[in-house]
Amino acid sequence: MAGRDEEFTTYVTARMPWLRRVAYLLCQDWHRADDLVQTAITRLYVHWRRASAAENVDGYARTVLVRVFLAEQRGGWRQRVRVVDRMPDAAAEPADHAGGVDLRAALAELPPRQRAAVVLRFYCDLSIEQTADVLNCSTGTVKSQTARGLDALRRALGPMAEGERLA
Amino acid sequence: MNDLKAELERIAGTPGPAPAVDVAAAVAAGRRTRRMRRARRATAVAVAVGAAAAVAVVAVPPPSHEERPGKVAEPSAYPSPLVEKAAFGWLPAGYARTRVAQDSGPGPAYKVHAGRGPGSTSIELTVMPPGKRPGVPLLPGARKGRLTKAAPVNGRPAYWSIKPGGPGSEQVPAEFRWEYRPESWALLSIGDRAVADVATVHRIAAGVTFGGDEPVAFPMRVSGIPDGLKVTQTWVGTRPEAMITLGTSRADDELMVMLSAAGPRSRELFKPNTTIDGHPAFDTRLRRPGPGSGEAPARQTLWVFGVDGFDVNIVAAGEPLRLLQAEGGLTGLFRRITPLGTDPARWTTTPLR
Repeated sequence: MAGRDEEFTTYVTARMPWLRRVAYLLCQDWHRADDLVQTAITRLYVHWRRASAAENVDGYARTVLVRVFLAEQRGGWRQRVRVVDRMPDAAAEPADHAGGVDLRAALAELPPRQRAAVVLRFYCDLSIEQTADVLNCSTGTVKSQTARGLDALRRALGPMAEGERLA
Repeated sequence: MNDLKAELERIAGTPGPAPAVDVAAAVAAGRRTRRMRRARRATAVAVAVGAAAAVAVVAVPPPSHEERPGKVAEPSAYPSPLVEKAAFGWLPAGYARTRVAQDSGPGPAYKVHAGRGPGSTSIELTVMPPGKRPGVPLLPGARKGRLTKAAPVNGRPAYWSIKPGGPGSEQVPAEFRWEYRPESWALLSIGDRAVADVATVHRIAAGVTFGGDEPVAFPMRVSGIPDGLKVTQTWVGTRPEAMITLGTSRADDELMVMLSAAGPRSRELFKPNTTIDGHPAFDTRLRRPGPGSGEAPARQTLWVFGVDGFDVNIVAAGEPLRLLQAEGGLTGLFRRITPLGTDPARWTTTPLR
């Protein structure tokens, strides 16, 4: 058990920055990203025997993380009870780059599965088949989710999309 | 496509706060899950074997689901400690919900408060557990109170225990109860004379919705809570502030974590006698020795002031205190508490890890 725990801790500690980045792309909030990663690594620990024997441990961890994200969304994460009726002023987001194109905001507007498809295909460089495996859906669904996601990004980003073509 | 990848990498590289992920807590929670699953499987097998013996057929144990990657375990033994059971649908002008609380102890109840600004709790809605009626309060002079029939609320029976202007209203301006569904009661207590009139109280009651079951978000995250405890009391308020108490079946066992907006009042009451990580703090272990010193304390209180705009208070007694000693004591637990700021969008519905 000690060896297993040590192996798990070593892996998770080493891959923590990567897991947080993927989680952040999925939810655009560092605190939520930490929540997602915390839940994901707990589940990863439960399945560590299988995960550690997998050909691609990173792939296994990423699958768990994405499914945690989608499950949280289904569970009404965004509909959490707010005790306050009037939200305090939000902290200012850091200024975006010179082009003024806020892909982050456009990404945040995508439905969760479209966002996950875009992140898996274009940030994690997964194939359509690999993405389908992570999202537990058909390749056709991945294609349509990705196409819709990119279409929405194009519409949101306007000039950049027209000039530089996202896909 | 390359542009999109570059943009995504730029976003992913956005500097964020220090990671709040706790690997040790994940291991501890994962172990708990594995233990629970093993126990459940053992129970299922025992039941299956028993049934097989009764009908003289061979029972096949259910297949293990432990390693199915798609079926992921419950992440924590302490899931959302506070779940919404009722909400105000209408409140008088100037009022807003200020606090939500759940007591799971000997007198379990769910409460929602509303007031004129943070900290005010002058309207209190109590949802009783099914089958339990709210008690009738005594009137001044220890006189026995009585219920007065009121106009039904949404067709359901309702009563005044203190009618506006009637006996007892000089202390509590109004108290009203209604059976919102068979054998399920709600109690509305009004502490503000300005809104304690029959029509207003009735309108507040008629607007209350029951159910919801949405988890309530907390402005803190606490990791490394010892195993085997049960959440007994929680509340979250808009100051912001929050409190979670855990315990066992023994009355002496208690672990309480409270976060409140930093202010002078607590610091005046509990004059700092040490510093922790640069914050002034008060620790009952460091009080002047007196009679009984030398024995292990049965209860310890720690206040740490001015932590990211909050004062943090931890109280531990009995078994939770003993369990915490192996993990750095109350100071160790304080270091595993992360205040999440004043923006509820950043709060978490699973504050305990």
